[in-house]
Amino acid sequence: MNEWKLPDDLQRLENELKALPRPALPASLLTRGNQETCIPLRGERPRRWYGFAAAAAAAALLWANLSFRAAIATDFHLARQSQQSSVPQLEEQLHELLPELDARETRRQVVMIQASSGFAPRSAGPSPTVRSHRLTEIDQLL
Amino acid sequence: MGYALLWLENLAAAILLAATLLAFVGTIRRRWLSRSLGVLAILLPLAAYAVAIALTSWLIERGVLVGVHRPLLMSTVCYTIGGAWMLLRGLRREPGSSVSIRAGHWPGGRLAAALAVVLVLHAMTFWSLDAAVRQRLMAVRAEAGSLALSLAPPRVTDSENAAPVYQHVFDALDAFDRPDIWTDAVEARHVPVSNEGGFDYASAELSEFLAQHAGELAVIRQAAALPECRFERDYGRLSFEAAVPEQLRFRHAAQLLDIDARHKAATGDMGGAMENINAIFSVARHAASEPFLISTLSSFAIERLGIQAFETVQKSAPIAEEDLSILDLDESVSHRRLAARSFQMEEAAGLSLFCTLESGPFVPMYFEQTELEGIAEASGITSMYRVFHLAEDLASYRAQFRVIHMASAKPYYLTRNQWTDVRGSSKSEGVGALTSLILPDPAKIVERVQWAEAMHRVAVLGIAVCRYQAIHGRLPAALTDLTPNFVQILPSDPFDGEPMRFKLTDQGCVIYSIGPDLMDNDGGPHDKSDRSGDIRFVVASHAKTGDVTPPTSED
Repeated sequence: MNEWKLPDDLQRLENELKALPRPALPASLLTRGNQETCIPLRGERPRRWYGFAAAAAAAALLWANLSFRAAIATDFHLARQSQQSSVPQLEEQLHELLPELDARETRRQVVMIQASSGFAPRSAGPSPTVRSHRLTEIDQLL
Repeated sequence: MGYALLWLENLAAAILLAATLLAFVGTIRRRWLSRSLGVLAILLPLAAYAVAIALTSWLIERGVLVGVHRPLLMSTVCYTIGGAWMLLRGLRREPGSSVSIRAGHWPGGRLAAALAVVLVLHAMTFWSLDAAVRQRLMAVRAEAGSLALSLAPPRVTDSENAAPVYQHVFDALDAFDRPDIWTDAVEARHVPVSNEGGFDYASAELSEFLAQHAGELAVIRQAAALPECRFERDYGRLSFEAAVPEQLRFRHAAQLLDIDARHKAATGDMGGAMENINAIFSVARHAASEPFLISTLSSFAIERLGIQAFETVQKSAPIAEEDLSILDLDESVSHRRLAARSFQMEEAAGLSLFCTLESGPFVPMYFEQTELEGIAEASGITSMYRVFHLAEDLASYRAQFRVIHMASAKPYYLTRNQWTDVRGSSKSEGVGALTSLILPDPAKIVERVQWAEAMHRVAVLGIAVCRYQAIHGRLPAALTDLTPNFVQILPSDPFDGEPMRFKLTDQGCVIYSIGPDLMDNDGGPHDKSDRSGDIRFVVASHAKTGDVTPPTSED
């Protein structure tokens, strides 16, 4: 491989420049220069504050989303737990009432009536006073 | 918007998965192996898409699923384009390099990390969509509740309410054991009262049994005489335990009245028999005050019990006009209207059933003790259903009920084909998974309703003919003779809209509807097995020679 050489006039100028006295670098500048050159050479990346902040913010957002969803998915058991008999038992009762219904329709009816226990608004039942008054009326009637 | 994000993430995850796999297999030195594995890596997500498309197509074909295949197809097409690009770029040769294909230079670790992040985001988007759907279901629940409450029977004053009186006698009916004589009497009700060799309704044993329960019978008659019936219950949270046993008790009360009516007729007390039969009609009306479909069907059965009792009793002996005037079978009752109200309640209950998906697995009670019980309880399936299918399923359910409500508003003979189309079209066009389970078979139900309507109308005419005979000593020559003194308007046949048929026979006359087979069988009896024959009421002739009152000018 051929060695690359400067032209003579440029080589002379280079030698003259080398011969000139050089001022010493300030220590702070020297340290900074060394840091900037050595870190890439070691395969490290310079640590920047905004990179860390972005990663922390992303993690925080992810966590906030996760905790929000987890809170929504938590069952606090506030809804009324309905105590209902098993479907086959109820099917038996319904079959006694309407024997002409086929098996599919009987099960469907049981499921539909079970589902009727879940309507949201709560209608007002009779007050205890009204109820006791009514019982008295029945006694009189009988 | 949420779905666009979800499918975008899905596509990104698929592409990143393929790229990650390609980057790792690219490091293999043997080129043929790395290329083969690279192609497999690209085909892996494509195979998953193909399976998903095949599964959804199969479910759509079976009418279970609607809607979700379009975004799936779009994702597949997009992935195919991306996969082809990766194949072209990633599987190129890399001569003079440590890797056999170019994909070997791709940053596998970073791609894997990106894939993990996308998968986490994908799961969170799915979770967020699921949570949003569950929140929206609250509105559906409120709608179902409002609809149910609007159908609840109106409040009535205590003095007009039969429910507390029934409640009192129901407790007594629950307490007593039904002896053999009860069972025999109930089973023998299809034979004439005085049938020799059949059940003897005038027997001493039955007399003793009825005497023991005279108190209950009196209270049932008192309750039946009241105009309204409303049980105090929370119509926002109904329970099976409250609804069905009560209907069963109504039926038991009607059976007791039926036995007593036949006993009284057999012992010559026609007035007492008519009082009991009229009480059965009232019990049927009270049973129908509940908005459930089973209450409506049960009330039809009770009314049929009363009609059969009357038909049997009037055949056994002539009934005086003053006794017949006790009977009050309302001409204006519309069974179609009752059925329409029941369909509305069905819709409300169905909407409420959709809402059970808000917190629980996939309607577990429907699959209780079936082979699908385990699958239905898997919460993952419920989430998938909620996110991808619930909206279409609910829309399909509402659409089906819209057709049902429209058809309910018109007479059956005008909408007959519409009814058979409801479920037929739903099968061919596909309805949702839950809709296909909970949608009633309206054609069957409506046919039963029309059967009850026809039975009611022939019975109204039958009572009128009996009254005519009691007054004039002979049967009318035609049904038109009955207006306006015995019936205000001649009812039409619900099956074809034509006037009810009337036929004089040697033994009396037959009033009949053509029935669900839509063929005039000349008043022949109905055969349930093949739905043939007519729905009829047979009036026995009790005319005697010289006992005929000449028709008045009013007739």
